[in-house]
Formats: sequence, structure tokens, C-alpha cells
Amino acid sequence: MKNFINPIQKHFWLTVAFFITMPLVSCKKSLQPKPYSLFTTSNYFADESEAYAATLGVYDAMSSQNAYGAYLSFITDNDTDISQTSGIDLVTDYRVICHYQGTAQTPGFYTMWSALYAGIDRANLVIQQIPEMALYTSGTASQKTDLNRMLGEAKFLRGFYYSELVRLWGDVPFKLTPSQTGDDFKLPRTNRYTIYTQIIKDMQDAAAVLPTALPADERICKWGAEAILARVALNAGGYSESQTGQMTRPANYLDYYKLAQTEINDIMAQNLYKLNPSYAQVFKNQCQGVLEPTESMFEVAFFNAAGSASGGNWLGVIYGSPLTAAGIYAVTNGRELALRPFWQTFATGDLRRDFSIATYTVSATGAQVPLVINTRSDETWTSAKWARQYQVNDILERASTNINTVIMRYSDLLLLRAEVENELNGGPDQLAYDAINMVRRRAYGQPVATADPAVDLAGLNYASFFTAVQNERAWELCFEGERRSDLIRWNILGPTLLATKQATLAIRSNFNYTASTNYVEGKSELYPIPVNERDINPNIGQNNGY
Amino acid sequence: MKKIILILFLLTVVNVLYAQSVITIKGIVRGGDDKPIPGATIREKGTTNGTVSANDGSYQIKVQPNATISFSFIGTQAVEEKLNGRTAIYAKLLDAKSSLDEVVITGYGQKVKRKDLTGAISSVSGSEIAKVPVQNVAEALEGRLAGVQVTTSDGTPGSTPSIVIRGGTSITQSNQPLYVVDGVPQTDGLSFLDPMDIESVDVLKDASATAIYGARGANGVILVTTKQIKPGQIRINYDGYVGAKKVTRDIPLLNPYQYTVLQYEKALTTPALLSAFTSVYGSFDSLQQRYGNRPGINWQQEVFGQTAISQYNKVSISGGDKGSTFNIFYSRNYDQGVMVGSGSTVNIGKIMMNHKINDKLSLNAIVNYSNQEITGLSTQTGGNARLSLLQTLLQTRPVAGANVSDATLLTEVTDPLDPNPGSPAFQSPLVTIANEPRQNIIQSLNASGTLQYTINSHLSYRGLISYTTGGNVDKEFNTASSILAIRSDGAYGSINDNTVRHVDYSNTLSYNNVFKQDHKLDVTVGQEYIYDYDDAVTASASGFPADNLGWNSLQQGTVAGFPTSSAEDDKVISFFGRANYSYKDKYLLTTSLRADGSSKFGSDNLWGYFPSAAVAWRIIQEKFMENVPLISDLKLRVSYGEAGNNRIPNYAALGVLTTGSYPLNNQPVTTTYQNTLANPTLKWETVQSRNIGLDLGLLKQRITLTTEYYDNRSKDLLYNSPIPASSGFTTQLQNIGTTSSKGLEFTLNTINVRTTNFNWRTNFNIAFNSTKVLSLGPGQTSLLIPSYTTSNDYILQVGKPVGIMYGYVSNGLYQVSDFNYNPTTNVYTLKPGVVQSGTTVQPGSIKFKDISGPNGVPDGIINDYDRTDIGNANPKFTGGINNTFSYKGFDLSIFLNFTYGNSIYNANLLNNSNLSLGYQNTFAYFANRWTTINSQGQLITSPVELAALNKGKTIPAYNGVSSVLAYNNVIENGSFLRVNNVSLGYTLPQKWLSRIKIASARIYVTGYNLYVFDSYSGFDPEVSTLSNPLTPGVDFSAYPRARSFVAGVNVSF
Repeated sequence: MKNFINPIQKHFWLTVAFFITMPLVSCKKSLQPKPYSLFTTSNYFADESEAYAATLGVYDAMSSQNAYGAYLSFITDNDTDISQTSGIDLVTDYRVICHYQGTAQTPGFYTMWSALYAGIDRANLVIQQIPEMALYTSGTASQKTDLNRMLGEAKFLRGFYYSELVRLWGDVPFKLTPSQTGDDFKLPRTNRYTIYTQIIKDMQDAAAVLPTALPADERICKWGAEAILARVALNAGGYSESQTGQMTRPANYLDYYKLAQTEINDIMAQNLYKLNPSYAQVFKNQCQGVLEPTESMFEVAFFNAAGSASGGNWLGVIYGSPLTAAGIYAVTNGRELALRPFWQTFATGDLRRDFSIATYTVSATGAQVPLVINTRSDETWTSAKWARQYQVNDILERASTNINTVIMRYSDLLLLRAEVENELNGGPDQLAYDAINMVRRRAYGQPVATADPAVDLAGLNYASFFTAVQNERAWELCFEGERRSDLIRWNILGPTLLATKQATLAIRSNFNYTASTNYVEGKSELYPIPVNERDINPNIGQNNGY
Repeated sequence: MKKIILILFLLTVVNVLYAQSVITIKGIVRGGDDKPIPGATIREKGTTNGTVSANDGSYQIKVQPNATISFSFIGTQAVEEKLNGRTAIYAKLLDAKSSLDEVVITGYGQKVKRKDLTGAISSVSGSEIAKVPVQNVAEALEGRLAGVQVTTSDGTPGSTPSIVIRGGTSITQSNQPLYVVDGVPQTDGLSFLDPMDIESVDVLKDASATAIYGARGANGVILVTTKQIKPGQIRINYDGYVGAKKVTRDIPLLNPYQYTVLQYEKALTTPALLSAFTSVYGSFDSLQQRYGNRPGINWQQEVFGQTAISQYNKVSISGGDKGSTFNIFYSRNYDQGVMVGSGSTVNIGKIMMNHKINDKLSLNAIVNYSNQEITGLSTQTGGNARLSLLQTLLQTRPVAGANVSDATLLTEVTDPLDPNPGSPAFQSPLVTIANEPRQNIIQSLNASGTLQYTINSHLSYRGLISYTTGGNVDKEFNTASSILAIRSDGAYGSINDNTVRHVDYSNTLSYNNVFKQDHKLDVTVGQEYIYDYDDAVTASASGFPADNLGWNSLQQGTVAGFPTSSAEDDKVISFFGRANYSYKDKYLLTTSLRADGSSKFGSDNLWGYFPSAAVAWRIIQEKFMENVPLISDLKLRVSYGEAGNNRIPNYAALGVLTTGSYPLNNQPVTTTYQNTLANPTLKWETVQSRNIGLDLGLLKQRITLTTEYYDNRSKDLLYNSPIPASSGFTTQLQNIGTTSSKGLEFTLNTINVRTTNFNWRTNFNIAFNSTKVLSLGPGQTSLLIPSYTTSNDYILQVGKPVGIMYGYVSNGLYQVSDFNYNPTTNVYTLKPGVVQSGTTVQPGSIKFKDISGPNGVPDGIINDYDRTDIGNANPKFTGGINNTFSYKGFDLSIFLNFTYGNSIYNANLLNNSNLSLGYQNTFAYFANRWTTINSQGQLITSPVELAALNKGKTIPAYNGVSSVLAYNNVIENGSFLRVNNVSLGYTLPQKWLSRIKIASARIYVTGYNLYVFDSYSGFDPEVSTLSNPLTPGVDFSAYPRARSFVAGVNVSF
């Protein structure tokens, strides 16, 4: 001990100096934070793989239940003449929103709003960063092509997310640069048509650089982007609720129809897409994770991380599946009810009716138990397009599924074409008839390309053809997230809900259908600006009636 | 050992030498509590002659016949007695606690006598702490110290209480103070300490005292000194207690009959529901007869009803000589939770060694290991507002059905009546508890070494190195029968292993000198380096076969979860200096300055500088006070100081990208995106504190009163502040504004009776605090924040306190007369002119007050403009009163603590106020609700009858109120007076013990949380279930608190 102590005492100051200076040797350096588990933005986008991960991050924003796994896909689509959400309470926002009882304080609105803007900011970062990459200007030809494709994807997605915001909220805050500290985040709202102009530009820019070959996965291609742009154009050219609560459409609305026509014609000229001969198989393929690049034009990919209820899609569990008891199939909730008056509108021979609507529940043994009409059980019919029996992994995907949410199908585009041609020509032309009849032939189990007088429409004028398109869209696209938007852009949401109410009353005086009671014209066509946003942004205002 | 024998031998020799010319004095040295004091020094005044008292306190000393004998012992006041012909002296050494010479620790090893203090420091002794049978030292501080508010979030075993000093001016994620144990700053509270191993706790309240801790001192500093070793013979001590506790309250719920009536009323809307109801519960006419006297299942009793046991055992061995002392102990503290299957066990082992190498050099080494194992579910398990365990417990139906025994409910895996079979919410809570095992193991191994070197009589050096490694292992399993597995993809489990490393390394150099007798100077300079490194690994799996080994064999799961790992670190480099100067012990000055560099902040704001200054004037020392015999102490203190706060997540200043995944072709592909918005401008949060204190002592310190007034300002508050979501982010960590916290604190200690056999002392403290938001950044006057849901229900408003609850004000119910009734469609439509609600309302729906609108005036519509302040979580005052009595061997203490004037946000009530979900029970509050059925069970639609039926009703209809919008009816008064603990002890007389070779022994019984006087309808008014300091006072899914009794013994051999 002595031998150790003595030197310390002798060289005391030296020892102290050593201990004090020891941590300072690397003082400046050691205060540099080192995020072991995170990438930093300052040196990100160094290579193509980083740009790729960031681009997929823009897609990632929509692959959750807050976005296209429940809220933006199914909750925003209810209640209509096709479907309504089961149950009435003031507790759960998926009911409150659907039954037109939502207020600015309903949390679901903020959930959707935040999810879309998160996606936009991610896109803004990619759009800003990729052109600044060295590889973008000096890389190999294939690197440049890849980076341009990613840039196009980010622009397309930014346009898509903005189109959803405008569709649901009207005028919204508008921002095209990635957020950073020092920005003014308390933005007032920008006129929706200004935003539409940017959306159109973004999507056209994207289409110019996106791949022209049909994709082998869920990434967007040129034709998908053009198809979405066509739909966006019809939304822009359709009716929407103004900030003061009037249902109006822009004076130049036909320009938007012409834009849609251009985009549709461009896609059709390629002759790449075709309808799957079997309507049912389209959805069975979706349930089984089989991609259908010639019918699905844009879809949101889902993957249910093991053991987690939150990673996957609610399609096939809570929505789109008949009420199923636990047993041979995993249990479901059957939250989205199919309305009997809608079921009644299908013509005889239309195969879509019995495939799309379950007039039964599924028992533990897998048997279909009919929901009999005369006992009010018809009030609990559900959508059935993504039923458990089509799913191959339903036991593993018990709480949420890996089913992709398909945003745009080829038959949707055909019906858009029929609508656009009818509108621009003051009545149906041959293109319009061809488009709608192809969809109808498949519905009746007939060869798509062969004219069939029993099924084909003919001899209609502008108005009757328009009505035919409206009905066809309901039959073809029911439960796929399109109906409520269609009714709004046609400006018939209120009358349709009322007519549906009348139709339910004709069936039974106490048929449960509350949508038309709660619906308020000039209010219900837009969602309220969420209160959490209003509480922090005094410049944002509120939509009419909230 | 050899040394000890040698010393004893030498002492004997000395005694023998003296024996010839002197007389022998005998006696026993006792403490204020009448316990014998072994190891006390007995000395003949003016000589080197002395001895030490034996284990039983007895001594023998040979002295000159006219001698004066002095008795002294660490931590007590020395006593001198003249012999005056006596041959026996029974000395009593009172605790130094009541004295001005009490030693207070002020940081970095400095020990200051209380009379020389300049800052605001409150202290509590270890013996007070040891009276409360708790696992966490912090819990024992409740109510003991003025201005120190201890809130256990609820009664969960192993839960860590939060301590807020002076209203917590800081509003960051954590406003916990900094804990420093034996000189080593701690990152994670005090859970690794044994409450019986505490010598003293000193709380530094003002920044003049905390500035020396710089970047971490803004929330106050709690200095804990563990038991110091008394040189002397080797002693073996045993402490132990056993206890039992039981919950005292239930939340009143609807009884079985009321429950069935509610379900009947709901079912009446739809024939299918009605027939389903009737087939389960029978017709309405039979409900009273079937369920009127049926006890049903009281789920709260099933889950929280047991008598829980606690057990504490500690064995220690300590001793040594003047050169070298040691203390070794092992303790085990088992605390069963009142909730079935929950509990916490703490094992602590400690070795402490002091070695004096020579006169100049001494070493101290401490190794402390603690292991806490917490088992069982928390009442909040299950997550959201609908599914947390406590909520389902309150909602699960109490009766099974007309022909089904209620006992079947106890074992129900899913409720056959569940309205959502696809994602059922209801399961017997007992089944949930049995099928969702949880284990949380928290370990901490700390080794620290201190080297002290006295360079010369004025200069000394102290170096400290401390290394802590520890971690937290969270194990979770949900069997196939658990509700979580049923709602998810079947049985799943996970292990989360989090390791923490903490290095603290400091050097200080101290200089002290006295110049010209009257000028005392004491200077300390130092440097400190702190490094923290955390890493975490998780493993999870699902798809388990029915028969599995749970978390002990995750590989049995057929589907592997993604493993995750993460690592982060942070560093603080500091330099500091402090100078104390006093003139004639009358005028005292302390100044300090600290510079801290932290890796957490933006590169332009790495360094923070924290100065402080304090002056004190010991008026008692002035000449003019000599003629005031009543006053024995009078001191005025004034201080100013700044301290900082860096308790924010790492890397918040950096732009970082999180990774996620997006599947392409059913294969997950890694994605990256910004999850948080970088804030490169982040800087220290600073608290500026001003303090004025007055210490007054009367009647030779029989009465002492300390008064403190403070005015603290926190600038650049760090808060994860909401920002418009249109930015792509919902929150950002920002320096958002300034708050102030002002207050008055009084601490009154009195010795009411002091006689040889009977003593009575009272300690009373009370604190008044008020906080105010001074600014929230440019252009911002308010900031709304959510508490237990995503709904904004708290508000920060410039000019108002922090902790204001924000929501709607009830204005009665919508009455039949407010509507036009259409008898054909049976629809009630609101008349024009009646306040519209945002949603469709019916008679019996709650009506809110129309307070404002977009133009600042009431607009006839209820929307977000109609929210206002509805409650204030800040108490007007808090405090405690402790009375201690001792009579011969008996000692009794009674401790009460109180809080007055705060609101509680009863979120349990709010969350259970919309009763639309099928077959769900709710609060008894709703028994007398607005109803649409008459006593015959008939649905009333006629407006006249409906109005008559509900005349005078104030509680809304079952579907008449939303369960997410906060409104004033769920805000309750949180004032309480708690009989915190009553402890009775008896020290066994020496004559009994000496026969069985026991040095001392004390037995005691303590009752803890005996009674609460309050008006709160929930489990306990002392509740705050959220850790966000901006949303205090929320009661959501709290664990109920229990009353407990313990009986224990302290034995020393």
C-alpha cells in the first residue's frame, strides 16, 4: 500500500492535473452527439439506396389504419345509399363520423388529417433532396433514371395526398417545402383550385418520369398516376362545398373533364390494362396477396407485422367481411353494413350482388347462416367482397390483414371514361358505351370484348346515360371507398340519403338508418377542421356549420 | 480485529494507571428517545482521559473527584456535567436535530451547520423515514418538507412517486428533481435505496443552493446521505417488519338491478336487442324480483379485495476502528399488491468501507446492488380509454343472467354478450390477470470510490468516480385466452431488455481559512464529467401452440417478431466553483458559478452558465440582540440563482430519420422518414430563483420557525409542444416560454414538553404556491394540450396557472320543452332559438353553456369556442404535521398531511359516462339518470309524460353525453386531510435485554394511510396518473390505495 500511496502524495498536483484533464482531451469532440440507432438528415440522401428508403417512406405514410387501412378508405366512405356503419353511439369516432355526427373534436378527423400531412412532408423532403444529390446530375444513366422515378413517385404521392385533403376538407393549408424550424406553421388555408393546379402539375411531372411498363409490385407507374389524375380532375370539376356552405362547381369545370379525357385516352391507347374475366376473382386475388397489374392501377400495400393488431389492414376483418364466428375461420366484426335497398337495385343476373353483399353470417363450422328478411336481420347484412373464406392466412391475419387497399381499378377508369365522354359530348358516344358495357358484361359473366344485347346499354340520352353511370359505379365499386365522394361531386349526397331513408322506411318503419337525420346540407359535404389544429393555428378558420 | 483488541487493551491500561488517585463514576448514556447509546464518548474535561460507552450504553470512568465530565456522540448535542459529589451520572444526549449545529449537506461534499446556511434547504432524518413502511424512499418524504410535493401516481406496487419542489416551474417531460446519493448524481430516482438505510435527506429548494448542479438543478436537488458508520465494536443489527394492507374504498357502480334496468332501456330501441335482453335477463316485470337482492359480482372486490402482505428483513453488520470502518447489509422488502397477482420485491445488498490510510489520505468505497422485481398487471394495462384493465373492471357486467350463476362470469374468457365479437372488449378481469403475466426486473449495481487528500491545513482534494450499470428487463406474455391475444393475432410475448450505464467522475479542490479571526473563507472549485449510455434489445414472438412456456421459450412461437435494438448516449462536461465567506459568523456570503456542456443541445447552445449568490445575516449575533433572551436565533437570508434543465430526449436538436417498413409484393422493405422535427435552436431551460428566508428561534430553540418566500422564473421552457399538423408533425420539442412560481413556506418545530421521562415535539409545515404562465413565445397567448385521450382538455394561458383543466360547462339538460315533437316519426327536433349542439340531441342530452362563438359572442351553437377553464389542479396549500411523544421506553408519532383547494379531473367518470355500448356497467352516479321508461318498463314517447317522468333530473340520459369532451361535472374537489401514519414503539428495558446478550431492541407498530378526510368520489384524492407535468390531477385508471398496518422490530446485538 505504501508503495502506491507515496507516489500519489509526492506527485499530488500531477495526479490531480491528470484526472482533471483526462475528460477534456476530447472535450469538443465528446459533446458531439452520436445517434447510434438513427440516420441523420444532414448526411442522408448520399446514395441511391438512401433515396429509395426515403421514397418508400412516403408510401409508408398511407399504410396504416389511420390512413388507408380503415379511416381514409372505409370510414370516409360511410354512410351512403350502399352501406352504413353498424351501431349508434357518441363514443367511437368510426361511428360518429360515418353517421354525420362528427364534430371538430372527433379525434378521427385529426388522425386522418395528420396522416396525410405527414405523407406530404415526407414527399416534400424527397422532392427537395433528390435533385440536390450528386448522383442526380453526375450518376450513371440508370442511376439517373432510378432517381427520377423516385422523384416522380414522391411528386405523385404529394399530389395524391393533397387531393385527399381537398376532397375531404376543401381549402386547406398548403406547403411544398419540407418543414423546418423557423418556418411559419400557422398557415391560413389555400383555395382548393390553387391546390388542384399544383396537384395536376405534380401528377403530370410524375407521369413524365414514371416507368411505362406495368409494375411488378405496388409502386406507382405512369398509367396509374394518370388514372388517379383523371379521378382527381373529376373531383375538381365536380361539386364541392364552399367555405360558406354552398355546393358549387367551378365555371371552367369542363376543362377538368377535358384533362381527365386526355389522361384516360393516353392510358387506353397503350392497351395494357384489361378486366379480369371474373369479377369475384379480382377480390379473391386481393385477399390472397396476388397482385393484378392489369386490373389494379394503384394500391396501398399492407403488411401485418407479427403479433401486432396495428400493422395491417382492417379490410377483411372489421370491414368488407361478413360477420364470422371464430371456428374454421377467424372471427370478424362486420362493422360495415350493406343496405337492403341497395341490394334490391341489382338487376337479375348481375353476379356482383351476391358476391358483394352477405345476406348471411358465417358460423363456427364455416356454414352460411341466412339473415332472414322478415326478422329485421336484413338490417345486419354486410359487405362480403373480402370475406374470410377467400383469405388464405386468415388465422394468422386475425386482427388485421395483409390485404392491399386498391385505390384505382381498371373498371373504375372505364366508368370514368363513360362519364367524361357523356359529359363532354352532351351524351354517350361509342367510347362511352364501350367502356360501360365492358364493365357490365363481366358483371353478368359474359366475355368482356363481345357485344351482348342482353347486357349492353344502348339508346340513352345524356341524362339517362349519366344515371346509368351513377348506378353502375355503385354496383361495380361498392364498398371500395368511392361512393360518398361520387355523391358529393355529383351534388346528390343529401337527396340520396333521403331517398335511402325513404326506401328503408318502405321496408320497415323502424329500419335503423340515421344518416339522413343527421345530415345537414352545406355542412356534411366537408369535414370540420380538427380542433387540435384550430387550437394551435388561429389562422385556419372552420368549415361551414361546425 | 487485532487493532480493536489492541485499542481496548490500551484503554484498559490507561484506566488502570489512573485508578490510584481517582474515583469511579458509573452510569448509562441514553438518547432523546431513551434508547441507550453505545459508543458515546465520555471524557474528563481538560484531560485526555476518556472512555466509550458499552453496548447497553453503560460506562465506567475513573476521574478526579472535582471533575467535569463531557458526554458526546455523533449527531447529538454534547452534554457536560459537574460531578458535585455524585458517583453516578445518567446522561441524556438529545439529537442535534433541534439544534443550530445540525449538519446540512449542500452539495459536492460540503457540510454546513444549519446556522451558517444561506440557501433554502429542508431536511428530514432517516429515523422519520424509517417509520413509513414503503419501498421507495421518496414516498416517505410525503408531507414532511415544506414546498416538497410528493405524489405517488397511484398505489401500484413498485411505482415511483413523483416529487415536485416548489410547484415545479419546469414543464418538461420530467420535472423530477435531481437526486444525489452520497455525492453521486442519479439518473433514475431513488428506487435502488433501502428506506431503512437513510441517515438524512436534504432538499435544496432555491437556485442559490442548486446552481452548483448547473444544468440539472432547475427542478431542485435532493441529497440523500446513507447511514454513516460509527466507529466502535462490531455490531449486528436486525430490522424487520410484517404488515398487511387492504383497500378502503370502492368506486360505487350500478347494482345488479339498476344495471339490468339500464340494459333494458337500451334494448328497447330495437326489437332484436330487446329479445336478446329478455332471453338473457328475463322480462322487465321480473327484474326487481330476480336482481333486487342478488349480490352479483363486485369486480373491485374480486380484484382488489384481498389482504396483501408485506415483509421486510434487513441484517447488517458494521463496525471498525478509527482508521477503518465498514458497513455491510442485506435487505429484502416484499410488498404484495392489493390487486390479485401483483407485487414488488426489492433485494438490496451494500458494502461500504472507509479507510484512513494516514492523517492526510482517506478512501471511501461503496458498492450497492439492488434488484427489484415487479410482477403483475397494472390497472392501466390494455392501453386506451376503453380497454385499460381498470376501465373493463368498472364496465364488466355484474350479473350473468336469469338462469345463469353469476360465478360463471368469473371465469369467462370472452363475454358471450360482447357487442363486438370480432374484437371483444370484455373478459373476466380475473381471467385477464391470470393470462397476462408481466415481470419487470430493475437492477442497479453501483460502485463508487472517493479519495480525500488533505494537502495542508487549508487545502484538500476530493476525487470521486462512480460507475453504475443496471437495467430494466420487461417480460410480457399474453396467453391465447388473454383479451389482448384475442383482440390481436393470438398468444404473443416479448422481452425488452434495457441496459443503462452511467459514469460520473468529479474532482474538487477545497480551500478554507480564517483570516484575522473574523474572516472565514471557504472556496471549492471542481470539474465533473458525466456519461450515460443506454441500449435496448427486444425479442418477440407470436403464434404459440396452446401448450407453451411463455416468455421463457419465445422460440416456441411460430411467428417471430422483428427484433429491435437501439442505443443512445449523452454527455455532460462541467466546471464549477463556489465560495463561502463569513464575517464574525454574522454576515455570510455564498456565490457559485457552474458551466455545463451537454450533448443534447444544438451546437450553438452546447454550453450553459449558471451563477448564484446568497447572503445571510445572523441578526442574533448582533450586540442589540443580547438583551432579547426570548430569541435564541434570528437569521435573514436573501439569494438569487440560476439553474438549468436538460431532461429532454437525446438527439432532439438533430434531424434524425426513423426507420419503418413498407411491403412490396408482401415483403417488407425498409423505409426512412423524419419522425420528429429537428430543432437546432434548442437550448437550456433556465430557472431563475429568488429566495428570502427568515430563521427564527425562540426560548433556547424550543420553538423554531423558518419562513421562506420565493419567486422563481423558468425561461425557455423545454416542451414537446403541439404544432400544426399541416407541417407534417404534430409536436416539436421547443423552448416555448416563461412561467413563474411564487410561494411562501413555513416550517415550525416546537418542543412542547421536555422532561426526563416525557417529551412531546411537533413539526409543522405548510406551503403556499402559485404558478403563472408569463409568456408562450411570440404571438401566442395560449396552448391547448391533451391529457388521457387525444382531446385537448388542459390549457396553458398567459397570466394563468399551469394545470388548468379546459372544457365545457354544463347548463342542465335539454328538456322536452326545447323540442318540437313529431308524433308520426317519433322525432324530437330542436326549436329555433335553443342552443344547438354539434351533434343531434334528444331530450335528456346534456346541454352546455353557449359561452362564445367565432365573433367572440355566443352564437347559439356549441362548438370549440364554448370551452373554458373548468378546474385548477394546483392546491392553494399543502403541508403536514407530525407529533412525536416519548415516555420512558415508549415513543409515539402521529403524522398527518393535507392538501387544499385543488381540482381532480375524474376521467374514470367521464370515460364511463356514455352508456351506449351493450351490456356494460357504469357508475352508480347514473342510477338516477334521465330515462325514457316508466316504472312499468314502458317506452314513453309522449312529450307530456316524458317531461313529467324526468322532472328535476340532472343526470343525462344513457346516450345523452359524450365520453370524450371534458366538462365541469367531472371536475371534483381534491382537498384532503390524511392520517398518514401513526407509529407506536417501545424500547425494551436494558435490564431485560442484558440477560439475553442483546444490546438494544425496539418493537413498534405502525398504521399507514389510516384515514382520509375528503369529498372525492374516486379511490383516493391524491392522484395524478399522467406523467406530463402540464396535465396534473387526472384520475384515469389509477391503482387504488390501501390502508396498511405493520409490526416490526429493530434489534442490535
